Amino acid sequence: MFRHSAHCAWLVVTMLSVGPLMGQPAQGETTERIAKGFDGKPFHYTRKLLREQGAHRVFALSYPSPMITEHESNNTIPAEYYQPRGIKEGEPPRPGVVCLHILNGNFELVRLLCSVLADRGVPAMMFKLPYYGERRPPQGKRMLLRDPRLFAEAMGQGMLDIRRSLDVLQSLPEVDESKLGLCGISLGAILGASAAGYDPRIQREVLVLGGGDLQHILYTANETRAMATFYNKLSAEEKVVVDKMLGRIEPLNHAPALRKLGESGRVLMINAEEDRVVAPECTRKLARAMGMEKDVVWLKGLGHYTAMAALPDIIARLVPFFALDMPPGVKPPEVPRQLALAPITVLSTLLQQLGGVVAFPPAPGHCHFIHLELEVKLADGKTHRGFAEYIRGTGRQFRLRATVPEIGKVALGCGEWPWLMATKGTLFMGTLEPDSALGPGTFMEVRNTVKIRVVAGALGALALSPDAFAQYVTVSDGPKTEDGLRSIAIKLHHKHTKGTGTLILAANGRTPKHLTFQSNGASGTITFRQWRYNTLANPELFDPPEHQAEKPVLQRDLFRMFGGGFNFLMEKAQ
Amino acid sequence: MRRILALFAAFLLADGLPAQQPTEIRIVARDTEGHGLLCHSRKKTVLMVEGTPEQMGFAHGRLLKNWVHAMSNTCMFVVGAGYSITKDDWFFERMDEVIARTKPHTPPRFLAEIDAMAQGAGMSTRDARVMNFFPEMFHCSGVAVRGAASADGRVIHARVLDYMRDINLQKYACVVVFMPKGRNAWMSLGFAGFIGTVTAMNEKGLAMGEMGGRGEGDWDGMPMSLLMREVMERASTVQEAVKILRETPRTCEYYYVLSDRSRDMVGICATPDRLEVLQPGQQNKLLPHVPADTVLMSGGSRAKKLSERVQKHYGKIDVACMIEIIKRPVAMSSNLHNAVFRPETLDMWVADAGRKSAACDEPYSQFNMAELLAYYRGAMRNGTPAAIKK
Repeated sequence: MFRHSAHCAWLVVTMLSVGPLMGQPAQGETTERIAKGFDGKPFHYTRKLLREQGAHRVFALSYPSPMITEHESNNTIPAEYYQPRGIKEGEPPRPGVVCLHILNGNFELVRLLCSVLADRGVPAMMFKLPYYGERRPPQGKRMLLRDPRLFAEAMGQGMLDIRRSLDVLQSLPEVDESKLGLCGISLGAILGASAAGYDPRIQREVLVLGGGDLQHILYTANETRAMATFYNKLSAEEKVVVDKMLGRIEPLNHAPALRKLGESGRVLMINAEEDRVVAPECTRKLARAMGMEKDVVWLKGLGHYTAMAALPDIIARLVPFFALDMPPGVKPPEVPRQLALAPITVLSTLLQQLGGVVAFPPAPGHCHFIHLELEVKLADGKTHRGFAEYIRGTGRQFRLRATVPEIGKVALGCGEWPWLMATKGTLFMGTLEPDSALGPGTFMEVRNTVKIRVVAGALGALALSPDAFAQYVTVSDGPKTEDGLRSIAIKLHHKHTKGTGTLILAANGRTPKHLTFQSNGASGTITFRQWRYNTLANPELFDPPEHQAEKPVLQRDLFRMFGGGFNFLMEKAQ
Repeated sequence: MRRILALFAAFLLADGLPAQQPTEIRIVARDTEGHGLLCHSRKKTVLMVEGTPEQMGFAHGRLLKNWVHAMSNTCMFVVGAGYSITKDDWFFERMDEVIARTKPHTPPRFLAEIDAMAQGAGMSTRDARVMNFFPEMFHCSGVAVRGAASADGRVIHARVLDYMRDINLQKYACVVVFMPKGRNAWMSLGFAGFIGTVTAMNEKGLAMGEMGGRGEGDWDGMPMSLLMREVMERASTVQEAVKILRETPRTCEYYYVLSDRSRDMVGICATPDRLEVLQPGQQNKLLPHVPADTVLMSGGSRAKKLSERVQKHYGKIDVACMIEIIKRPVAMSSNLHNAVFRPETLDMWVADAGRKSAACDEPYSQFNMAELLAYYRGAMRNGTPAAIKK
């Protein structure tokens, strides 16, 4: 289930992070020489501008791995460099960060990290670990997850590749070679921790979902179950060899160097409290080795995959952490005004707000308030008309009114008491056996609320790098309406979902007013009567509507109906 | 291609060739008190409980605890909310009435089993009782053929349950084998936490399916799902079943198709005041043409289609053919589950609705009552379960 919700979130993150792949034509490739790398050897790397995106530029880099393997494709490191815009000549150099990707080979998250770092003014780069992406041999990277020997060998190569990537990063004139940082997520965090033990140039680290005791992690995680099976079939002698290889990339074996960083406050560890891939105990082992057990930032109620729900929070912590090394007077690049008002920015902000309305409560005394009227014609020719109104306040407060097919108008909410309105005018009021510990969320299944948070978290992250999902959506300004209102043309060209839409904005240029769309045979219109995010609220907003009769009922039963309805809708949505 | 696959599946499902399913049965959990097994077989969850009502109830609740809670928290409360909104009537108040009015006619052993199930699952008695009685609040097709109508003369009996697929009841579907002390053992195509039945066959080879009619509010009788259980536990033949149905105070309006291993079969229209028995081939003004050696119960255009299909395949109806006969539009889009019984061999083929598909479009799994009983007894007494044949 978590994988499913995480997958949904990945779709969103994928959409927002693929900019580097779809950019403008190459504008010429240059070759640079590094006279002396970490191993004392010279090498060349190529650099090519891929695109300019927001407040940064993205370059494709390519350089040889220090380790030669039998797979030709694996011997070249593909990388991307995210250079902040507006770097002025003569400015003091800045910190630079190498970002490491996760085990399953999804690069979108690490691209997002590079983007937000560069937008903050911090040069960042990512590269693909051995046997990932273009480095993958014809057998695929699955072989990596089946054979612990190969995995250990590949990660050993990865360690060398990290160091060579640091060589490239520190060679850049805008980067201060004494302020190199490393940021890793999951597998990247484990490798990143070990890398700090090998390479003293690493002065600052952010480890997200990382830990120590690699063997425990590898042989107990679902993702590497095949590896555990393989390992168990090895002879005692072979196991000794594999253990020794894994020992080289075991973060706990680099405790002294790690402790030096950790105790000086140069490591930020962010972990999920309910992580079943990198168990909290493994995190604590690493934190102890670093002398920072009390400093781990724990994401409450989240697991390895559902940590996506906290992505905006993770980013909000790690970016300033690296920016601490920015030289005085050097400011983040300014986003041009036209970019701030770009249609893609407006759309991503609205999506972020939508996620927030559903998943996150407003500030005290405030509410989120959305009222839509919709008419949808489905591919089968059936037309549905109706409305939906949702107001979310603080604590237990909410009100939901909507037209539900086959039932009619439905209204429910919770102000001082929870209530449910029947279609013929009877109000069921939850005044019997009141219990202040109960609320609308009490009987919602945790897995369902986490799913909502994951999607909302991903939508929140979308707003951080809004113009990076152009591979799937083309967003442009459309002609103004007769009333002089701004319109945004949306074209969806995802492989499974294609469609077009026109969003008309209210006079303030930020609030949606009207949306027409066509997608996969269906078409429709949505009129936004209300779209207020974190706006002032009064308690009466959550009162029940006028009714003909009132019946007191058990408060607990009403909240269970609310929870059951939510769980049912979440199951239907899957 | 799909048609070819369907034909292939139909061929495999033909009498004597029902082995398209995986054959193994796997024990998932044992009741700590030794009164039940939770198994997985042929892609279905199978619960087997035995003993006194309290022992069976406890085992049921303990072994299916999570499902029982989920069934209550999601399905029952969603149904309750829907009922309250559309009927302008508080669901739980009405359920209190149903439970109070049916209680004098409900054998105490059933209430004891429900209450023990609640205790085993760690839920309130009220919720468990409501969950078991709410089918009374909402008011599907059945057909049985034999003799000249079936391919080999044996009874082929099908029941189609068209009921609330939209609320995901199928998520909690299981085959439940009840082995009550001193009574007939029987199996139900049922749901977690539900001790009654709407689709069942017992060890004596008596099969029964139900269709809801009208009469909501007539609750001074034994709830239908428990009345069917009473029949399963006490009757060995269709005639004994009819006697029980006739003598027991009944609720609302229900229709039943019953068959047994002696090739007796009937259709029944039952209200609290009246019980009409329809013999094979007997015509009824509410039904389309009923061929000889056939009992059918359905409504409107579905009944007409059912009659047409039986006539079309008359004399050639085997299990695979019956599965085709009850496909849509005989089954409705709300088709929650289907069962085809062959009482003479104690075989039952079952299909539950999928997440987005009707039961009639899902693959069928075959269970044999005698094999399940032997398996259970082997597993519980000797520690060596009997093999389930291919």
